[in-house]
Amino acid sequence: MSGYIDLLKRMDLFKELFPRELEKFASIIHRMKILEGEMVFQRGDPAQQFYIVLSGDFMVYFKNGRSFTLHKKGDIFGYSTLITPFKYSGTVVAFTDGEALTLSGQDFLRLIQGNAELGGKIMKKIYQIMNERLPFTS
Amino acid sequence: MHGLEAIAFNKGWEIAFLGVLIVFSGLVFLSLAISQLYKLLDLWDKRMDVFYFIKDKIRSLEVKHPVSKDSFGRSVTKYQPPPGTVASRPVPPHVIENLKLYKMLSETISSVELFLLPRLLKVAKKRGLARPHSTINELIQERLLIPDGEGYFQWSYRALNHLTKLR
Repeated sequence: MSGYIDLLKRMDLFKELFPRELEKFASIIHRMKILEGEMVFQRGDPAQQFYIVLSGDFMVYFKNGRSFTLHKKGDIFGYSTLITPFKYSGTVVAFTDGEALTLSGQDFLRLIQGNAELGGKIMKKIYQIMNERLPFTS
Repeated sequence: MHGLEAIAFNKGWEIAFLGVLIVFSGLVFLSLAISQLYKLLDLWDKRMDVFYFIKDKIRSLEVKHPVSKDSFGRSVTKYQPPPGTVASRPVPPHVIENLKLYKMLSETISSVELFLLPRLLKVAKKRGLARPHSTINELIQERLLIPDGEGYFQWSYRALNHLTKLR
């Protein structure tokens, strides 16, 4: 678990969290491998997992065909797990083999709803990211 | 001299007023301090967290040298040549071959410079090209294929330069 804490600490989404707040996230995180060409999830699927890129390259595309690519450790996708109607708004495809950290949407929501300060810090970052990606979805 | 007259003569009223002022100032200060005490106690509880937070903040103030922005307008700390400029590192030959091929494919899906990347991928898969996902990724990593920042992609000047040299 301490390995995850060190990892999370270096990511933009979590860098403002205190160590014991990071511990809470580290306890609900899982690691998964993703293969080149794999469709991680499709637009419209129930949003059950939140993903944080550890390695690999990904493309996220939307109904209008617009897309962006993710290449950096710490990039996130799948934040629809935290926002109604809890369905993925885009499709994610892996360009290369990679790894990601995943958090179940339920656990994530429980964590941020149970702690207002923690929830505020995380959601502030997520809204920033959503804002950046909004032009791609319209 | 007795009573109120004596009090006034010996500046008793002034002294009394001063006394009331001192006492009430002290009470106000004490009540403010008590009302904020919970913050001090909270800070004491989180003293190690605060220590690490400050330590990390100081570390993050180290000067970085972002030289370019990604498709979201965020500064990237690792050096990357700006889109469209010629990078000093030569492009591997197999990537140039793929560039030719994918440039032709892009012309079948769009008559203008900008095109949709998922469509390029779909067409590449339909044509049975080997490993279209990693090939497209390589073209992006070599800055031959670049985002326009609004969800479309285009070939960079670097890519067009290479294609011109091949003719």
